[in-house]
Amino acid sequence: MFGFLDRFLGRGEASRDTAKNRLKLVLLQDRSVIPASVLEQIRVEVMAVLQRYVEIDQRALELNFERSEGSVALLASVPIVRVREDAPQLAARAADAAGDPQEGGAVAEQSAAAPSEEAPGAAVAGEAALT
Amino acid sequence: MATGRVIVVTSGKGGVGKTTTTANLGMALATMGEKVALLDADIGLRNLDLILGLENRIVYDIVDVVEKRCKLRQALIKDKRMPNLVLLPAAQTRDKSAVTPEQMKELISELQGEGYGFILIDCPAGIEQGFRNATAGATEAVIVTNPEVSAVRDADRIVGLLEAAELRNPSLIVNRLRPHLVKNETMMSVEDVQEILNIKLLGIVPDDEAIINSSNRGEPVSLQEAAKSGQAYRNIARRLRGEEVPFLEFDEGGLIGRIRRFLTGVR
Repeated sequence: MFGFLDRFLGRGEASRDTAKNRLKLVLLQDRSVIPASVLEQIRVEVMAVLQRYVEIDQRALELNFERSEGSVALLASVPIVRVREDAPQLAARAADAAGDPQEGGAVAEQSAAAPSEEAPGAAVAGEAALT
Repeated sequence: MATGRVIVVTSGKGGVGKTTTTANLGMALATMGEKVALLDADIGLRNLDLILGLENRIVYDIVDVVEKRCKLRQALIKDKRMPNLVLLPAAQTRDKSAVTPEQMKELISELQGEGYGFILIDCPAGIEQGFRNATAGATEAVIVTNPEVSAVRDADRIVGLLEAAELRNPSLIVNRLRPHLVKNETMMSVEDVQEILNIKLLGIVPDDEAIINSSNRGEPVSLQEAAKSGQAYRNIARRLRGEEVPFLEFDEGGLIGRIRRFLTGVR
């Protein structure tokens, strides 16, 4: 009755839904196969690479492991504030240094196609299956 | 040949109703003619005896058996109402380390040898040695939870630990459901809990004043024909025996139900 009234009067979602959503989030962490400290280190290193090419909203970056049906996926949501203007050149140089011009070319092309000025709200979502 | 089913009743969190569930399922199964042994694995915090009303008849306990101060048969307490129901009480003055998983396994195979068709183990709360002991000899697991965030989170942890202990496909009992709160969307529904835990549903037990009464008296509610929770436990017992029993509907529809709800508030 009170729950209904609350919602009727516009006092937010039903606590049943809040409970469910909070549980789902906390269980994602609980079920994670990788300890928080390792996850944090991965986050720092991934950020370092990305930051060479794009400006990132660090506080909004999300990195989680998700387990489903026997496989584990790494899910990253990286909000991009701005692509660096010299990203194509940096990528080409990095590719040369790595001795793989073909792959470098592909990266450079992609970066060139992206708007080099402000791109607020843009996000890169990556998914990589581990097993 | 030992063929009795060994089911551990567990939850992770304390106070969700493991002991009450063990007592009631044991009693209900015995009423249906099964030869049942209940094993209280909560050493140091024994309560199954109290819920069954057998607390005054304890002479020996599980640790006495393990340390060979008595024979297994001497420690088994026969229920006063159902002679085919026995209890092996926990020790009250020892701790969880008084028994090892190996000893537990031996004990259980001895019980199986005595011809018990169902051996139900009341697991202590927590995930430490008590949990490891209680699950050691089990071949099936029942997880008891309440539709409440902390109980569900702990249940999820237990699912993972059971899997690691090779106890796969546990089934779920959602205990202390308050249907009207679910209807008002102030309590998670059975479907919500099941969606989160993603394990097979074995039963739904409503929150029921009759349980408080029955605990007070040491008479499991499953003996009460009229109690809704007793009905729920009897249904679960039937499902354990392989029967298909539809889940209870708790909605108090109709005018009388609505008036009652109006007069009594949210419950």
